[in-house]
Amino acid sequence: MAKVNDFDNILNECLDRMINGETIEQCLALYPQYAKELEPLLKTAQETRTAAAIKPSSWFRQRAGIEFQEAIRSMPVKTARAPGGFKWRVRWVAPLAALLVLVAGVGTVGAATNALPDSPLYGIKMATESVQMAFTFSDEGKSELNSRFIDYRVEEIVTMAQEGNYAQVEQVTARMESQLSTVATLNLNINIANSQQEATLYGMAAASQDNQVSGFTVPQTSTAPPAKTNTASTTNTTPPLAVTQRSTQESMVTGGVSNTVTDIENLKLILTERFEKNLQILENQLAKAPDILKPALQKAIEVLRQGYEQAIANLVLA
Amino acid sequence: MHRVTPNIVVPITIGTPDGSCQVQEEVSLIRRAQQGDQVALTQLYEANFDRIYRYIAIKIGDRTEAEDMTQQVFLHAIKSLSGYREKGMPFSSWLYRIAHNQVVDYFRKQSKRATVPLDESLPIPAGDGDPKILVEQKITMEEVVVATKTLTAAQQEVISLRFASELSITEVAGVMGKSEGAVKALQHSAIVALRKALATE
Repeated sequence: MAKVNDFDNILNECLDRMINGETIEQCLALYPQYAKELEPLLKTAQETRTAAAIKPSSWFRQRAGIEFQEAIRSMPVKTARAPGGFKWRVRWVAPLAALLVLVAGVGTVGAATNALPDSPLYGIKMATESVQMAFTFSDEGKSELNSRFIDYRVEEIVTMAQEGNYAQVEQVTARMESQLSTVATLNLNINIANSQQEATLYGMAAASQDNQVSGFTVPQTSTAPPAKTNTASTTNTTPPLAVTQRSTQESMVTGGVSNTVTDIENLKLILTERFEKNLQILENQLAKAPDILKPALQKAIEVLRQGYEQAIANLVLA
Repeated sequence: MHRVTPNIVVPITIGTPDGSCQVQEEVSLIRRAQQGDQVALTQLYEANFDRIYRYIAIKIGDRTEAEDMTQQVFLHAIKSLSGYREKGMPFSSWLYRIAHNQVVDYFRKQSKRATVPLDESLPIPAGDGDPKILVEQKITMEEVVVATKTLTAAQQEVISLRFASELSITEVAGVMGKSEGAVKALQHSAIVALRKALATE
């Protein structure tokens, strides 16, 4: 069997060489061990190619060209949007979506939720997302919401890839990149705000502890509070995050920091899970995508990976 | 017996005769063509016209019919272009499918009426005009067209796509929805069968 497969490959290589201008003799010289078997087949192939090297008559070519041009002219032409059309849509779609979200709730907006980038309802979908974002007030909430929108972008990329729509895959990837960048910025803000809050609370806690418990070390910096040492404690265990170790005592003192830390950890968990899930989805799509779409999907994967890694890194507590 | 060409599963790149039309350019061209861009439509037409003609002509062996059918393939393509979706299938593969269906229809109709004598209907060879060469090519062409008819549908398809349209093995695999290995094996058996058929004529 191996010989047969080898021979099929050699025959094909010789045919390719002949198409590119090499002679039968040149091919046979490359594979003398197969020359006896190859030669008659290559001659037949050459005769067939010669026979098939036909061209339509010039009068037909001319007539066909004229008919084709006439057919083109009678095609219904998709008119380009008026220059101001897109601006008009942007100006009105957002308030319209807001109105629909607030008044109608479901219905059109619900239908738009599943709209794809090549759908007329996609503008409503984008505007609806903007409205949802506007009505989300905490950075943590905005970050989580953006990551949910990134899930939608990944779904859109997969669907567009399945439809072979290269351009839309690229456009949705660009949109996803922008949203990942937003998540990263939000996460950085969350982390900085948390550090500042912790520093303030440490100060308060230290002052309080100074008055009540001797030996409690106050952190020296606002950005990277060191793990504190409670001399009253006899345990040597060091949890991975100093903030986790602090939580019980801080909760007693502040009644709130541990919740913030937990929120950050939860957000990190959510983002990590979504990253892994979406990465898997895109990699699966890449594996079965035609070559023409692979570069666009590889780009999408790279954008997703870099964006999420940065976003998650920005949440790592100092 | 002709089969309908199965769905395309392998992506292929069909270029212009000089090979300059790359995948992305073709995608862009098709998008423009779908929007009614006459230049893009003409480019696609020019890039594929001769190949489609040769594909049909070598299958049916009738110049006049091949010309008309080639024209019908492109007119049909214009009408259906808005519904064309890439889905990993190059534009030319879509054209070959239309052409293949035209050939199937042609043979279906032919089976119900008398055929045109081959020597009066064969395509004009693309030779240099030397009468001797023309005669030799015409004879070979007649033999090949007749011999090809003794092959299986799949073997005929490989011969038409590989030697008339001059597609690469990857492209043929894409059009036929088969693996490259399967097409290579099919190509081998097709040439062997063709040789035997030619020898008996």
